[in-house]
This record gives sequence, structure tokens and C-alpha cells, in this order.
Amino acid sequence: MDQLFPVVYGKLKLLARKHLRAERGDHTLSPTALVHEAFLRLVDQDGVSWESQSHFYGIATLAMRRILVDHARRRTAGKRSRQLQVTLDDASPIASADPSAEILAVDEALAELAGHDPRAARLVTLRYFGGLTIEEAAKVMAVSPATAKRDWILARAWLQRALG
Amino acid sequence: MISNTDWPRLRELFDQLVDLPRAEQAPRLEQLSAGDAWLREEVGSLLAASRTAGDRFDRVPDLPDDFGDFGPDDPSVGTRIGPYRIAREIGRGGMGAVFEAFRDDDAYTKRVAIKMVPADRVTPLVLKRFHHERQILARLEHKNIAALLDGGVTGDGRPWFAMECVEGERIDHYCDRQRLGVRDRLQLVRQVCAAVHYAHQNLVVHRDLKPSNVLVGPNGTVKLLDFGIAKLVDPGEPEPDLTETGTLPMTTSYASPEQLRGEPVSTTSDLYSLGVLLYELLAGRPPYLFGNLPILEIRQRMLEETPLAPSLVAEPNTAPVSELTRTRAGELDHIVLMALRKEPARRYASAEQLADDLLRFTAGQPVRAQPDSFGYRATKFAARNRAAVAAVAVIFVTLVGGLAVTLGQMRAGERERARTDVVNRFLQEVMLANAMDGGAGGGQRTISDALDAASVRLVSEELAGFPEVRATLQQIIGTSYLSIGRYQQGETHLQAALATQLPLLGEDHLETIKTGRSLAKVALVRADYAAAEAFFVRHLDRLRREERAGRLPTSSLVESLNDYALGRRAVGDAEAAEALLREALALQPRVPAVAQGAIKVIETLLILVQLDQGKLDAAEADARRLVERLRAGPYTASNEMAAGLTILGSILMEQGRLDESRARLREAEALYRRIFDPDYLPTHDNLRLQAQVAYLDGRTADGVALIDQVLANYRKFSKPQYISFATALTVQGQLLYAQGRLPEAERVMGEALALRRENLPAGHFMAALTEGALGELLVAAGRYAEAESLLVASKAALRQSQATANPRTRLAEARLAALYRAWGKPAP
Repeated sequence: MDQLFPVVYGKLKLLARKHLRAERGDHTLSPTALVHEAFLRLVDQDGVSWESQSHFYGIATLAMRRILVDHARRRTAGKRSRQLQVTLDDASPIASADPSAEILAVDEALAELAGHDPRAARLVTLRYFGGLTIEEAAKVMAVSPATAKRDWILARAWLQRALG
Repeated sequence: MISNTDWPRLRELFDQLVDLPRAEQAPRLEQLSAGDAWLREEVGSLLAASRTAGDRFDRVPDLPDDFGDFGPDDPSVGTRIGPYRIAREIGRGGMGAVFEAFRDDDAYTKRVAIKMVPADRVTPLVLKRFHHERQILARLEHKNIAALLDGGVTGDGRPWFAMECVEGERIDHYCDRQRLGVRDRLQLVRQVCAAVHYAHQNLVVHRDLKPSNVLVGPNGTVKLLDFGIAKLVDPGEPEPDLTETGTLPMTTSYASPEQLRGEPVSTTSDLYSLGVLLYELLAGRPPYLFGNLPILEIRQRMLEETPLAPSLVAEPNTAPVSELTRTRAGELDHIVLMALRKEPARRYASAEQLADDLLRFTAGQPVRAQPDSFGYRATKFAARNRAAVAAVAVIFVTLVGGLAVTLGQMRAGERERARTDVVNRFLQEVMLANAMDGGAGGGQRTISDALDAASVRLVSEELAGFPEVRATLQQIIGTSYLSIGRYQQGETHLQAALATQLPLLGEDHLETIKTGRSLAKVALVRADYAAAEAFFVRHLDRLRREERAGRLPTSSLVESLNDYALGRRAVGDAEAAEALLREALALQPRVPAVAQGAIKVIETLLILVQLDQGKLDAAEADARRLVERLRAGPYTASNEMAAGLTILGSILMEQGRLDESRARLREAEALYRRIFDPDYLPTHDNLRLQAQVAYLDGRTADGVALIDQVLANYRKFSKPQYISFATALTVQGQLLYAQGRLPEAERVMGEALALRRENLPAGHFMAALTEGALGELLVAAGRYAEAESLLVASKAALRQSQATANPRTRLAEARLAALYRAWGKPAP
């Protein structure tokens, strides 16, 4: 694992905590916004130097994924019964339920995909957990946009099949 | 399950089919999967999912409302880290949090300490250091170093490692709680040395040695911890840049001067920190005490000041080192101070050598450490005062080199003015000012060396044609010698100056009188009170007039009044002494700020006058106030401070507060030794008082060693008439008496009493004190009648001369009462 991973991980968590304390009323906070904010803070205030911006996003999206998943896990551990009820009542259960359930399901499906196709799994991490476009993700992964596009089509199908 | 060998086929098929129109996909799949039902099923379901997925995963998930509420970052009780289960947090610092943890998946339960970077301290630098520590620990395997056992990375990417969990207590706390003596403390420090030496052999410098990083286990085994900022000195292995701003997070009190300066650190830097640790364990306090001083000042002092010897600052009776005799403590002082030297190259070369010297000390063998010489300390002083030194050097060149030529071209009147100008500048601004503070010399030379060099040039032919100039210079140089305690050289120069001045200028020329003034000082040191008296009787009024006319600095007159007062006191004329001192004190407003030290000395002597009258409480109050004022001002490390502390120590001794007395006297001694030549008379007056404290305290061996040294010094410079000589003999007699050597004790005290009677007026309290001491001895010898006459006279004289209710008179009364009890005779 990259030595800077824990640094980025810590910064993302710190920022998320800060936003929570500020009791955000709007819904502007997103993983993408957090990752960008972390980048600016680390470069400007902490003087962390990166090999490249891609280097940062590669680490930050991984960290974001871990944070989202850990948080979702913590949350669902306490709310299992309620979630079950929602699933019974609703025709499209996961989409309308707590985002935590979907996050956990995506993470699980990705873990399996990574066993077969690590590049495609990585692409999902960059896109779904980090909000990068296909072109941005291709740059981070140092592949052509066309390749990234093909990976994306497969990964998307994989997730859809897994999550139903 | 899809095996990885199947995946490339699956992926290839999917990629081929996904772009086809939906109607064509099924037939193509059927065809291409070639009867592989499993493959057809997998690809088919993925193609179907691909059609329904849409942009569902194109956007990031919404964040739950409570995103940001993550719970604690650092492992709480019960959390697993690697194979370990966290039991509790042991400690936390900037560099790492340490947890106690157990490995319980084995057949047995193993206890470890897990260290990891605290979540709120995760920065690239901290992580780098952490990895670095782990690498360093991995190469160290020693019974006195906590061993590395395991390591890994947590879920959030933070590295951790497990170490042997040391059951133990900080070395300083352990020593104090167990009330360990010096021997046991040294044994522990030798273990620390062993660990440090081993690390050094493995090219690791610890860089953060301090008590909290040295634990002692219940079986007395030392474990060295925390290599968090350790450094590899292996030239083949580049050190990662662990410093951001050039400073490391080491603890200032234990940092070596080179660390404080941000200079390269070597194994000898650890030796310095070991020295600080050793110092604390022996003296019960750190080498430097700074209170609330600003940090820059603290740093400056740590870089410049030599710490006082541990035995000199240790609290008597409570500090471990106080259990040793003075001689033994002195050897240990040398060891500690050698480790604490400012220059890495002058410390012990290795921790092993330090351990070896400690072992030698314990075994009673001579230690290798040697004290810094006086000359060396003076050199350091000169190096610290470059500006002053440069000024001295310039004036020396002007005076001794070019002046002769210049003077030769001048007319008589001009020549006189030039001489006065240059000489006065030299005398007042540079030479004396620096000499009083401890000396300064040209370049790397000491004041002593500078004076010696100047002496040589004085007799060269350069000044042959100008004897009166040479005489003035000799007078200045001679006076400077006196001011650092080199009496012999001082007297030689002053006599030579006088020999020139008397025929050339006459007895009443101011230059001649100035030389006489300094010679009177020599006479006082030599206890030639009559000679000093003769000078002052004849010339004091002249000095007063010259001062008023502005031709003599006020501080010079103050010094002369001071000297004359001491002379009068020495022959028992307390009244005249006090009058002279009061006259000097009244001159204070005219004394410039830089020379106010002379006034402080007058204040000290006025306290002495009170003490002579037996007014101990008043004297104590004044002495304490004086010392407090000196501590606040620019005199913290001065001759004046030493004098003030010495008189306070002397008062406390007579009041029976021996511990405090010894502490003050030793503080003063340390200052004297730092500033003056070892032969300086006041240093030995101080030691005499310490011998007296040792006698009163029952530390007879210490007392004897001290008093022998003092008497040897007194005999070297002074006639037996020196007022303190008889006092020293009395103390020696008392110490001999304490050793049971009655005949020798009686002989020595008899000699003291004879000197008193010869040199002091009848009924003088000092004679009475000696009579009392001798009387007590005679009581012990059973010679009651002789004792009675002495003790009765002593009591009467003290009642007459001393204030009411003072310890001296009370002692005399108690001695007399004891006599009659022993004699079996009712008191008259």
C-alpha cells in the first residue's frame, strides 16, 4: 500500500467530521467534493507533494471507498431490522433505501470482480467512490480512454447483475 | 464460481457481444460459447444486466446523513490488530500511541506492546519516522533493548509494530522509590550504557535518551525504549530526511549542544544525554535550572555554561551523591562533567568507556575522567567574549608595540596625556572589567596567558626608553594578576613598578599611589596588616581628594576603603572597619553602573560586621535580601554572588542550619572555581567554612580533607597573622578532637589561641571562640581547672562583645555548664 494512503485517509475523515459538525443543511457534500477538498488541503496547507495529481486520486478514491464502506458497515450493524422492513415494502429496495446498503453491496461485488479483473474493479473505485470521469480515471490508470470505456461497460454489467 | 483461467474467455466474449444489437447477441453467444453452458450462462446474464444498468453507477452514492460520525479512530479495547487483541492504551505522544495487547491464538497468551501512529498525527513525516524506527529496531537485539516482535498495517493503512512489553518503571522513579544508593544507581546506568553501546556498534544513535525512555523491570533489568528519532550512522545507508525544519522533537534538557544547534549528531551526542541522566540520578536535579527563562536564553545558556558539579548542587542528605565523601563525590563529578562537555570530541569516546569509568569508581579504582583545567575554562570564557578579547588585543598592540614609537615623537606634556588616556582606557574599560568577570585574553589565549605574554614584552627593549610608561603598565598588569588570584605574579610586577616610580615620580605621585594601593591589597592577602595600615594612614586622604577631583575612579576609592576596612577588622578594630564601609557605601551614587559590583562587596562586608557583633538574625535577613537582589540582576554568576552566598552560608552554619548552609557554600564555591585561579584566597575561606560545617555535621573525613587543603593554601600565601588562619587551625583542632586525637588537637588549638592573643585586642570575640573550643577539649581530657579558666573567660568576653541571645554566647554557657557537670562541682 502506498505510504501516503493513511495520510489521505486521515484527511478525508477529518474533513467529513468537520462537515458533519457544521451541520450541513444543503446536500452539496459528496465523495467527489470531499476528495477535491482533501487534495487542496493536503497540497496547500500540509505541503504534501505528489508524484502527480493522478497519484493522489489513485490513493484518495481507495481511501474514500474504505471510509464509505466502514461507515456503512458501522451504520447497518445498528439498523439491520429497519432495513429489512424497507426491503419488504419496496419494489426497488436498494435504490431507495439507505445508501449504506448499496455501498456495501457495491464493495462486495467489486471485491469479487477484483479477483478476476483488477483493472475494471479499480476503474469502479475511481468512478463510483471518487466521482472521476472515464477520461480522468483512464489517466490515473494510465490506460487509453477506449480501454477504460470497455472496462466500464463490463464493470457496470457486473455490478448490475450483482445488485439486481 | 468463475476461475481465473476462464475469465479471459468470458471477458473476450462479453466485449465482442456487448456492442451488437440485442437480437444478434443470443445467436452469436450460442455459436461462440461452443456448447459451454456455464460460459453461455455467465456472459448471457452479464449482457442482460448491461442492458438494464443504465447510468445507475455513473454517479457517486449519496452520503448518509450521519456521514462524518465515524466513532473512534484508534483501537479501543477488544479491537484486533493483526493477531493481537488490544487491552488498553499505555501511552501516547506525537510520534506514536502505545497499546498493551495480547496474542491469544497460540497455546499460550503473549503480552506485547503495540505501537502505531495516532490517527490525528498521520503525516508523511511521522509515517516516515515510524517506518524508520521499525527498521532500526529490527537490527537491534540486546537484553537491555525492548525487542521488535511483529509488524503490519491496519485497515486504514497505518503501520504498527509489536514490541516486547516491558514491565517496568522509569529509571529515575525506580531509583527514588527504591531509595537506591549511588552504587545501585551506577549499576543501572551501566546497563543503559551497555544498551547504548550496543546500538552504537550497530550504527544506531538513539538521539532521545531520557528517563522516560529507560525502564527498569522488577528484576532490576534496564530496558531502553523508543528509537523514534534514532538515526543510522551507516555511511552506506542514506538517512531518510526526517527533519522538516532542522529540529527534531527531542527533549531539550537532554539534548546535546550539537543537537541544540542543529548540527550533525554522532554517537557522542548520546554520551551527553547519558551524562544528563547520570547527573539527575546522582544530584536529584537536572544540570541546568531555568525556571521561567525564555527558551532562547535557555538554549544559549545550555550552549555556553558549564554545569556546576553534581555534588556541589545536590541537596545535602537527600540527594544520592551526598552519601559520598567529598573526595569520592569529586571523582564522580569528573565523570559526569566529562560526559557533559560541550565539545563532542572531549567527552568519553564511547558508552563503554563511560561504563568502564563508572565501574572503576565503584571498585574504588582511579577514574579516567579529569577535570577541566582552570586555563581551559578561562579560554572558553575568552572565546565567549570575543568583542572584549578583541578590544584587549588591540590595546595591547597599541600599548606595547606602537606606543613606544609614538611617545618618542611627542613632547613631554602630550606624552603624559597620551599615556594617561591609553592606560586609563586599558585599565578601566577592558582589563579590570573582564578580569573581575573571570578573565579574557587575546585570541584563543586566556587572561593569564595574555598577562604572561604582556609581562614578557614589558621587559623587552621596546619600552626601555620609557620607564614611567612601563611602570604604569606593570602596575596595571600586576593589579590584573591580583584580581584573578595570581598573587605571586601580581606582587612581582607591582614591586617592579614601585621600584621605578619611587625614584622617577616620587612617593606622592598619583601613579605611585595607585601602585601602592594594589600593594596594600597584596599586604592584606599576605596578612601583613601593618604594611597595609601604613599605606592607608598615609595616603587614604589623598585617594579621597583625587576621587573628588575626578582623577581617580570612584570604584577605586570604594575598593581602597574596602581593603582598609578589612585590615582594621583583622586587627580587631571593628568600629573603624564599619565606619570605612559606611563611607564607601555612601559613595554608591557616584559609582557607574558597570562598577556597582564594588558596592555589592561593601554590602557583604557590612553584613560581616553585623555577624561579628553576634547579630545573627539581622545578618541573615540582610544576606538573604542581598542574595535575592544579586540573583535578579546581572551578578548571577559573579564574584559578588559568590561572596554573598558565602556569608549567607556562614550565618546559616552558626544557626545550625547545616544542610542549607552547605548548599549555599557549595554554590559559592562552584562560582569561585569557575571564575578564579585555584589559589584564590576567598575560595579557601569558603572551603574553611565548609570544613566547619562538615565538623558540625559529623562528616569528619570530609572536614579533615578540606581543612588540610585550606591550611596548605593559607600557608602558601599568608603569614600566620591572617585572621582566618587561626580560625582554620581551630577548626582543624576540632576535627582532630572528633577523631579522638586529643594531643594533636590541643597543640593545634593552642597555636590558634596564641595567634589570637598576639594579633587581636583582649576580649575579642574570635579569641573567645577559640578559648571555648579549647576549653571543651580540656573538659574531655579531664583537665577541669584549665578548662574552667578558659571557659569563664570565653563566656565573659562573648557576653561583652556579642548581641544578647545569640548562639555563640549560648554555646559558651552550655560548655561551662557541661564542665561543672563533668567536674561534679556546682556552678558558682
